[in-house]
Amino acid sequence: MTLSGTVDENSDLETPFAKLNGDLVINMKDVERVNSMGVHLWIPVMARLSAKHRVVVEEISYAFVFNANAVANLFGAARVVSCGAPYYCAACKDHVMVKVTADEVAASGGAPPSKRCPKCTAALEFDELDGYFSFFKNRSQS
Amino acid sequence: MESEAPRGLLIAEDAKTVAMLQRVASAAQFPLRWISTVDEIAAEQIADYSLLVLGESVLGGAVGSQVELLRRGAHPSLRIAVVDESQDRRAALDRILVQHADHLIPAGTSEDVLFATLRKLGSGTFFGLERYLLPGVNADFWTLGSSDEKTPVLDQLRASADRVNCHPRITDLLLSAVDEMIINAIYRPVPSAETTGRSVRPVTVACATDGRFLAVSVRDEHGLFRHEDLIRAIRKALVHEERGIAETAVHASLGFRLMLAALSHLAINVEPGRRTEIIGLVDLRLSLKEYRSAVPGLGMFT
Repeated sequence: MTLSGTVDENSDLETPFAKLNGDLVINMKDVERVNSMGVHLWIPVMARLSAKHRVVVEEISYAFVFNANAVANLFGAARVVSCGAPYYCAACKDHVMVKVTADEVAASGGAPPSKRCPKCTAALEFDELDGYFSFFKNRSQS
Repeated sequence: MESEAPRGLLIAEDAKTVAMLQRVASAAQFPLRWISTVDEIAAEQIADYSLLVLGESVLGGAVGSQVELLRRGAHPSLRIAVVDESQDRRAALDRILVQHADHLIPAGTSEDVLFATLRKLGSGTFFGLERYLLPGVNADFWTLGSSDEKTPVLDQLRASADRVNCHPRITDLLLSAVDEMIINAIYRPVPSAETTGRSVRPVTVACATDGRFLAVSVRDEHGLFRHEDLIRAIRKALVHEERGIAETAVHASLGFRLMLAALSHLAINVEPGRRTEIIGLVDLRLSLKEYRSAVPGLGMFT
């Protein structure tokens, strides 16, 4: 399943998940915005879903990472395997979002993994705080 | 009867804090007396002041105890400002809670914002995002009647941010904050709006930039927001960070925490019973890393 757009007070989160019966992979790369009322709707849905089924969440967007670091139980018992992370290419002078996996972060001891520019292959600079990936660690400890 | 001009009392030890406050207060023509020792504090008459500015480093030990004694003798309208000297976001939020601060002044703050804050306090005129911007800027305005009208406004704000080369992720953060401001304006004053999605009074969004800052304000015509609401929201949000949100919670209570985390500065103006205006500022001169690591400023004007 791919989610896109906005998770907010106008979102219907119940219907898309209502008929699910089995394991689920949710891609959240294109969720552009989430607000506190969206988080309030999201938490019980994700808690119920991940309690019944094996749920894997991949490529959570910048907006969702921001919330994942602010709310401990944002993904219930789901396994978050990757997220989008902001990097900067000094050669292209371009801001790029790059997919980073939980395994890569674990392998680098929690530090931002090294990445290369998809256009020019130059080494990218991580463009966020070191704590950006904290939610991976916090989830694996909970 | 002519009202007395507001005056501030600065209690601080850190030389940088003192120099910054004195410099900016002088420029803003806001009278500010500085003291730093226990004896000096004991001799002060707090009733003479409308603003107490506390350097973070004086909040412990003997000086801190004396400051507490001084505060007990204060009138309820005394405003508290805390200068965050540790540049630690979490510690800064704790300081707001413990001190019931109206204002948080980050040590690394843009002096432009501090200048605007002191000018607002000095004049008693709070409303309008132009108070944070250079003279002559023109704001764009939008009026909303319900939350499903917000997306086109947020799209136009994104276009405004793009025009001034705001970092795309900072723009994401700004839009998240403005989304929170809008739902706060629509839903908080009238809880029944949660079922209808409509505000009973229009909500006005404004945006302007002077090249240094991109400023967005959201105003409701209720004026029901209180300082205690802010304190309660931040306290709950800090709990959510550690323990999560109960599935049965009535509200996520995340809005103000998210606004503070997403902005360079958050100002809340309240004219009780008439209007509330929340202003978010983005410092366009910062890189994403600088922006995210900076402690946000906060100003509560009522």
